[in-house]
This record gives sequence, structure tokens and C-alpha cells, in this order.
Amino acid sequence: MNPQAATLHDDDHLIEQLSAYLDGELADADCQQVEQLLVRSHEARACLRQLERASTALDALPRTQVDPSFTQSTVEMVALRVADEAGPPDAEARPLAGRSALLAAVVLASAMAIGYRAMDQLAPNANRALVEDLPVLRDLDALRQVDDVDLLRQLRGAGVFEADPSPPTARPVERPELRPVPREESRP
Amino acid sequence: MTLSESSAPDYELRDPDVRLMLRVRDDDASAFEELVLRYQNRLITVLEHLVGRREQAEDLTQEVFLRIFRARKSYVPGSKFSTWMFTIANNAASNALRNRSRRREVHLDPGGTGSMAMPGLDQLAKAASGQMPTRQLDKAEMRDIVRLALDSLNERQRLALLLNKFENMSYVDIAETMQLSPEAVKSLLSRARVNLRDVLEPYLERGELPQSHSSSS
Repeated sequence: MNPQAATLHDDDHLIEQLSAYLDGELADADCQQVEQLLVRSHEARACLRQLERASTALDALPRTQVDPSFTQSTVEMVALRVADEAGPPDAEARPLAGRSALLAAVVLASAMAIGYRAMDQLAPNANRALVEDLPVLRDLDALRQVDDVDLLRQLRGAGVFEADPSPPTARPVERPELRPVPREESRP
Repeated sequence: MTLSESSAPDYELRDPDVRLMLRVRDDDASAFEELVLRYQNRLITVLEHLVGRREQAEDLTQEVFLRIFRARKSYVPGSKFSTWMFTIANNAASNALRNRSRRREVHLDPGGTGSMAMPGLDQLAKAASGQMPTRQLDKAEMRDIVRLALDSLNERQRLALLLNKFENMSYVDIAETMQLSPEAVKSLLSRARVNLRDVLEPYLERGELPQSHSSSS
């Protein structure tokens, strides 16, 4: 107790102790001290009673009971708000996803082309050689009749032996006019 | 390792609501709904007496749950779940009251003039003319007197009293919620009870209704 306090009501420390005593928040030693004071001081007992009555008066305040729909509306509100907050990042990610897909396609196509050419170099296709030689093979019997390598070279230079992509009936192959081989004329 | 992290397993062990919150952290929707069910009434009760309006208390309650859900991924149990939740509630209420005072909305203020006299008492005066049963009148009157007394406290005193009364919080838990020391909470509660006593005692002792007074607490 504060000896300078005019009355108990002016003793802030003691009132704090009484208030804490009501709440069961005093250490054992302090608790014993307050109880000894309460035994001998009528004023302390009156003060404690007033503090207790003020505290108990709060029981008159109602405790809220909400409608069950409040729970549902709360959960829904939270879900909507969180979804809204997460919304904008998805919209920004869509163009990124599209660009990534395009880039992936380009990379894949390039890889396929490189791989194809690499395989082509490393492991030549025997069938391709046959295809390239097909015009010769096709006319092999006729070409054997020409017993002149120079003539054959000239014919090749003129494009006679180039593969004709279109069917034979679609477009006639243009063949250069053959220059007759000059013949040496003999006089009787 | 911080203190809260070192005690996290303890809270998880002792507090079932902490375990629920950890499930919410793992995106368990049913756990979140369970937390809402368990705490909505308690939150609205405290917030309604703190801000003085039921509708605002409901809005603030939903705001609290939204903040809890947003914070779920970084949740580490460093206290009882209720302590953490009421810390958020205190912050939400403080912001709301601050915004309200900025807008200068008229609200129940027993420290004001006669024009701000409590509507409840006027209604009670009319009801006292004979239409309301005496017992109900006493209860309703008592409730309004206590509300008046509670409104005469400042926000911190009011919150400390409400957490102590409605949530049975210890001084340590109230201190954590309000970011004060336990000694400060002890002093705060003591002053709150003295102020409450000063308003209520004339009514409780002699049935005298509180008079409007100009000075604020």
C-alpha cells in the first residue's frame, strides 16, 4: 500500500494488485500479500467488491450468434477474393505460354532438319543414289547403242538425262537438235 | 532458429486450432471452414463491442478470415491460434476506427452533448411507461448502461477488457495480441475497471442513470 495515497482509491499500485488478483494473475507471494490486506482492511475489501462488480457487469453484454449462412458467405467471399487476386498473373502468363510454344516448335523443327541432314551425311541413302541414276538406268539399253563418250557428255550437258518430274504425257521433254556428225566425203 | 519456430511443435501439440491452421496452410478447405465456424461468433462478439456496430463487426470478421487465409502459406505457429487471430482482429478494428474518426461519423459517445444522448435510454424511458415487463426492462437497461460505460473507455482499455472477459485471455496472451508487456496489460485493465466502476457504480448502488459529461476519459 502506498503510504502517500490519501485513500485506497488513490493507490494505483494497490488497485492494480486487486485487479490482477481478480484475474488470478498474481504470483503466489503477491497473492498472499493481497489476501492479508483484505483480511485487515475494510476499504480494500470494498474496493475489490466494486472492481468485481464492474467486471461482472460486462456479463450483461450479449454474445453474438450468427446465422449459419454467415459461414458460407465468409468462405465464398474469401475464395472469390483470393481468386481475383490470383487472376491477373494468369492473364499475363498466356502470351508467355504462346511464345514458348512457338519457340519450342521452331527449335524442334530446326533440330529435325539438322538431324536429317546429319544422318544424310553420315549414312547416305543407297536408294537415293538409285533414284538419281534412274534416268540413266531407264535408258541404259539405248545409251549403250551410243558408242561415243563425247556424245554422251554433250547430251548430258544439254540436259537430256535430267529427271523429268512431270509424267511423260504432261510435257514433252525438250531435246536439242542433234548436229549431224560431219562425214568425210570420198570422190570417186 | 527464432523463438517462435522453436516452440512451434509445442503449439502444434497443445492447440487443436493450430493443427487446423496447419491444414489450411496445406490448402485444406474443410479445415478453413471449421476455423470460421469455431471463431466467427467469438470474433463478432468482441468486434461488435469494440467498434459499436454489428454490421461493421461482421465485415471486420470476414476481413480477419481473409487475412488469415492469405497468410496461410507463411504460417508458423508462434502462439496460440486465438492469440494470433485476435492480433489480426485488433489491427483490423484499429484501422476501421481510425478511418471512421477521419470521416467524423457520429457514433455513440457518452462524453458528448445532449444531442448525442444514448438512443437506448430514450427508448427505455418510453418502454418504462408500461409496455415492457420489468424484468426485461432491467436487463435491457443494464445492457445499455454497460454499453455506455464501455464506450466511455478508450480503444485499448476496451479491447483489453473484452479479451479478458469474453476470451478469458491471460495477461501474457493479451499482451501478445496488443503488442504490450504483461505489466502494461495489468495497468491497462486496472484503469479500465476503475473507469468502468466510476460510470456504473451510481447505477449499481443507487439506480442512478449516467449523466452526459463533457470530459473524455
